[in-house]
Amino acid sequence: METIYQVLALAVLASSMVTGFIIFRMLGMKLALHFGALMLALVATLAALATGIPALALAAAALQVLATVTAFTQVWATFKYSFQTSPGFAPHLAMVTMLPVLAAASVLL
Amino acid sequence: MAKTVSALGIKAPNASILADNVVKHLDDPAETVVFLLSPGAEEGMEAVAGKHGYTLEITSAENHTEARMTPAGNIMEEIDVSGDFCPGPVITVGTILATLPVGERLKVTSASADSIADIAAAVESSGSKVVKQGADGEKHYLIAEKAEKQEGTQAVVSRDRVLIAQSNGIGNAERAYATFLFAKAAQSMGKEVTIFLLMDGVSMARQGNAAVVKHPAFDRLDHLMDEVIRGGATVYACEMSAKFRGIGEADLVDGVRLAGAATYIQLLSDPANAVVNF
Repeated sequence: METIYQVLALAVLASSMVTGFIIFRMLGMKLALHFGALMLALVATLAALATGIPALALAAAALQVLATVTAFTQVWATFKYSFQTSPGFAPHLAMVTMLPVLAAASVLL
Repeated sequence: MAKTVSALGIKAPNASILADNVVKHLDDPAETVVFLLSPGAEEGMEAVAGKHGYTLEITSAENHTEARMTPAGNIMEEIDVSGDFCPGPVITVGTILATLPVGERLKVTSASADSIADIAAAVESSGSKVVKQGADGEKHYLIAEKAEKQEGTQAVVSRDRVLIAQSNGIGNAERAYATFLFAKAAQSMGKEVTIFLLMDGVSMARQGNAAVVKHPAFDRLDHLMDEVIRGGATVYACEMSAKFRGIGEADLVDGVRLAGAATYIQLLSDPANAVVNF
């Protein structure tokens, strides 16, 4: 397993906290599930990097994918009817969309 | 063009004798004549109309009666705007009314009662009159009469109504809350509240959408909305914005109805409305 992809995923997760916080201010508690998945992915990625345990790296990859899925399912419900605020959601969605790619790379390469 | 003759203060049967003479000496026998009469003076008008081959229509206003004599064979223009959506019907009716001479009438039918209500608002805003409005089977209709727009007189108006125009929806929780929190405040001050949801604002009107907006310090948005509606507020959702987002009449929360651009413009133009924009 290449740790470089885990480092990149960690960087994306840390950046997502910033863009996610902006969305959180707009939408409120509606994003609680996604917020939880993002935090767990961050902790698991940090732990995988610190320990180098393959099982933790796999768990981190799974949580990174889950963070992306929950971002889309929860923001989509709003985005479907609210066009004017969509630029506010775009950076966060773009950011978390990188996660599945990095998760796949960290497991397969 | 309809000729208007004021016979206010003339009692029956003198009013009908006058009407008989007016109709007899009309320059254009195809012209519609409207007599403004004192209440009760319409007695005998039917005989005058029958004698000259006119159709008589009596309508009562606040302090006078109107006897409208239309030559038989004059057919009122009719238009069906079913299937067309906002602002199409309003533009169509406005264009036709603009070409009609003062006093002429136009019948507009539509499958949608909301469209007819919107057209009625547009007709009255343009200074013309809605003489009749109702339903005929599945269809709704109104009869508009072209009139000259009267210049408004300066008057002191008590602003006892509040219009909240909301163009932000569930994508902006703070602004969404503001709509109903301000509405509640206005209701508690004894103001009549109208809320017009347009653009992203219509997202709140879809069933279930407001239920997902919750701020820790406030009640859930759908509960607030329900309280405001039960408190007597009129809530409109812009028809065009709803269509943009695939929201139909059946998807709306109970107590919210679709309205067109004319309704919005009329609400904005009403000097009794204090307008709040979010």
